[in-house]
Amino acid sequence: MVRERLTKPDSPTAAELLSNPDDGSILLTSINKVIGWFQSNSIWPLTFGLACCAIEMMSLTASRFDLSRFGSEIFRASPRQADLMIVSGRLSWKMAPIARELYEQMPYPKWVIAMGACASCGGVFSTYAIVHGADHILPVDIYVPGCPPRPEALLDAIIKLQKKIKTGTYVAQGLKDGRR
Amino acid sequence: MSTAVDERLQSALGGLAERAYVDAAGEPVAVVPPANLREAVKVLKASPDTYCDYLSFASAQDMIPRVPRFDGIYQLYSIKHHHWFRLRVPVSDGEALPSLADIHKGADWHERETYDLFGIPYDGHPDLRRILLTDNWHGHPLRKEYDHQFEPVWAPGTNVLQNVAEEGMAGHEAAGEDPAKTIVLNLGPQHPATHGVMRLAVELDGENIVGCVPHIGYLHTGIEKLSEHHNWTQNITHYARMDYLSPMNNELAYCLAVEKLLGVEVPKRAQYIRVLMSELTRIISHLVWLGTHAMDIGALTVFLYCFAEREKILEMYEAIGGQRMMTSYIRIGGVQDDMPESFPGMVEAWEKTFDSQLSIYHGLLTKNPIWRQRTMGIGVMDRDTSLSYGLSGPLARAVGIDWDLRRDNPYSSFEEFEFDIPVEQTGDVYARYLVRMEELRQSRRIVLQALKKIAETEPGTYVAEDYKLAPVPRDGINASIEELIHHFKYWTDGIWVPSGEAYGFIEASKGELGYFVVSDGTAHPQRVKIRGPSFSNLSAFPEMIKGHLIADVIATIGSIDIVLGEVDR
Ligand code: SF4
Repeated sequence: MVRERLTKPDSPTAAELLSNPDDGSILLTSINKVIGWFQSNSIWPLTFGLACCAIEMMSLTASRFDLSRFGSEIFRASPRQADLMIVSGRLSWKMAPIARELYEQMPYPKWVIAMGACASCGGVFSTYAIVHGADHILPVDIYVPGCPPRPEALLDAIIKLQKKIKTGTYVAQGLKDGRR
Repeated sequence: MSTAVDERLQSALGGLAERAYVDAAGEPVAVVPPANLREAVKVLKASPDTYCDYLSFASAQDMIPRVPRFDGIYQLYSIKHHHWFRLRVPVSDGEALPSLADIHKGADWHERETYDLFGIPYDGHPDLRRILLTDNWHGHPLRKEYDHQFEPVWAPGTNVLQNVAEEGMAGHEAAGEDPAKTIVLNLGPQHPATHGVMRLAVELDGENIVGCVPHIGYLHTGIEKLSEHHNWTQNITHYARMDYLSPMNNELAYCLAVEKLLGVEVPKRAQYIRVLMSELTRIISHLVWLGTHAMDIGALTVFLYCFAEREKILEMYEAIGGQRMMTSYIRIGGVQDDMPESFPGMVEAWEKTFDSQLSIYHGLLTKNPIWRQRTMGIGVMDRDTSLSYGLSGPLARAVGIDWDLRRDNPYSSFEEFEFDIPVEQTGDVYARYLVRMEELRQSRRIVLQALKKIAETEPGTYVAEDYKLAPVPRDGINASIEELIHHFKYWTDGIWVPSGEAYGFIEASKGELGYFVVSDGTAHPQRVKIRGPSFSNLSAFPEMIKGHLIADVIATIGSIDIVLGEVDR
C-alpha cells in the first residue's frame, strides 16, 4: 500500500507522511520502534531523591544491584539532561510545585516512575502535608508498590519501562498539543 | 537521684516557678509563668547546681479546653551533671512567649517551628517566619481543631513557587560590606549534595560566602500530627520512616519513652537485642554517611564500598525483622520476635571482615592529601557556639564535648557494656570524620559483647510477659478464652497508656534523639514531640560555613550528616 501511494502522482511525500504520525503508516511505525529501541537502552534518570525510597534507589545503583547492567546508571543532576524522573519517596505539598517545575524542565521524551507507597498514593502518611500520589501533579508511567520497594522491584519497573518504550507508541504530550 | 535533682531545681528556681512536680520517668518539671521564663532559663544555666547549658528542644502542647490554652515546653540538659529539667509555660491563644534565641541560639529554629505548627508568637525573636510549611499556608496543624487529613488550598493566583523564586535571603540584610558586590545563589531543594530536599540561599562575594540562609520543610510529613491519630503501637511504623538511615534507633527511642509511662520492665534478652540492633543501625547509618560524604567530595569508590558493606547488615535486618529497612522490629515492651537461630552466625561472619573493610576506608581517605585539604580547617565550630546551638552526637564530640548518652544516661542496659567514646578537639569536618570512623569500630565491639550477653539469657524472653502490651502467641489464642480476649483487645483497642508525660532519649547515630510523649490515658498519644538531632545540628550550618568558599558548602553539609526526613518530620 505504501509503495502504491508513493508511486502515484498525487501520493504524499515521505516528509508529509512523517509529519502526520496518526496516519498509521508502516514506514513511520517502524522508525518509532527503532527510535524506541535506542531510547530504551539509555534511560538517564534524574537525581531526585525525596525520602526513604531514595536510599533504596541509591542501593540500586551501588555495587550489589548495579543498575548499569541495564543502561540506566547515569543519574543526571540537571533535569535538562534526564529522561526519567523517579519519584522516590513522599512528596510534600511544599515540594510539589518544584517537582512539577523539574518535570517541565526535562526535555521530551520523558517518563515518570512512582516509587513506593508514598509516591503512588501517599502510603502510611495520610496527612495534610503530603500529596496523596505523585499522579496528582505528574503523569506517572509505572507504579512500584512497597514501603520501600526492594531495589529488585525498582529494577523490574525500569525493565518494564524499557519494554514500554520499545513498543514505540510514545507520543510526547507536547507534540500532541502542538507545543515543542 | 530524682528527688535530689528535684530539690536542686526547686532551690535554683525559688519563687520563679509556680509549682514543680516529677514526671513518669522521675524527671523534674517546673511550671513557670511566661514573665519569669527568661529569668528561669538564665538561672538554671548559671547556677552551679543545675548548670543547664544545653537546650534540647523548645516546643508546645495544645491543652484545649484548658485556659490558658497552650503550654510552652522547654527541655533542658546539663552536659556537666547529666540531668534533665523540663519547664512548662502556660500561655493563652494569641499571647506571646518571650524568645530564648539570645540565651540558647538553638532556640531560634525550635521557636520558629512552634510558631509554624501552633501559631504561638515569640517576643524578641530575630526572624519569626514559618519554617516547615510554606509562607502562605492556612492554619497551624498541631492545633487540635486542625484536621490531620486537611488538603491544603491556595487562592487562585497564589505564587506557589514563591519560596524558591523570590524568598532568597528571606529579607536578611545583606551581610557583605557592599551589597552591590554580592550575589545570592540558590542551592537545592533538588541538588545531589544536599542529602535530600534541603535548600540553601548563599550570599556570595566572588567565591567567598558572606551569608547563608537554609530553607527546610520540603519533606514535612506531619508525623507529629499523625501520631495523635494512630494508636501507640501503630506509631512505631511512622517513626522508622522518619530518620530512614537509622530506622531502629527511632523505634527504640520512642518505645523507651512509652515504657517509662507504662512503667514496664523489659526482659534482659530484649534489652540486649535492642543494643545489638541499635549498634548495627549506627553502623549502617554511618556507612551511608561515609559513602555519600566521600562521593560529594569526589571519592566515588568509597560510596561503592560502603553500600556493599551496608547490604550485609540489611540482610541481618531482613533475617530478624522481615524487611530490608522499615522493620518495625522494636516494640513496646521488647521486640517483635525472638532472634532467629542463624542470626549470631550472620553477625560473626560479617564482623570478621568488618575491620579490614574499615582499614580500606581509612586507607582511601584518612591520609589522602586531597581528602585532608578538603576537610581540615573547614566548617569549624567552637565549643561554646556548638553548645548554644544544641549540637549533639559526633558533631559535639568533634569539638571536645565528651558527652555520650549511652555512657552518661545509660538506657537499655548500656551500663554493662564496654566501649570508648572518641573525642576530637579541632571541630572541623575532618574531626567529625575521625569521630564517626572510630564510632564504627566501637559499635562493632558493642555488637560482639551484645551477642555474648544474649547467648547467656533464656531464649524466648524477648518481650514483657504482659498481654496488655504484647500480642498473645499464636498457640495461646487457641488454648484459652482469656488469651483470645487479650488478643482481640490488643489488636482492636491497642495499648492504653496511663496519663502522664515522659521523655525517651537515646544516643542515635546523629546525636540526641528524643521523644517527648504525653498521654491522656487513652489508646492514642495526646502529643508526641520528636527532638531530631539533625534539626538542631543543621540550624548551626550558617555559623559553620561563614567565611568559607562555595565548594566547602558541600563538604560541610556532608559532615553534619543530616537526614531531611528527621529535620522536617
Ligand atoms: S513508601 Fe515507605 S519507604 Fe518509601 S518514602 Fe514512603 S514511607 Fe518511605
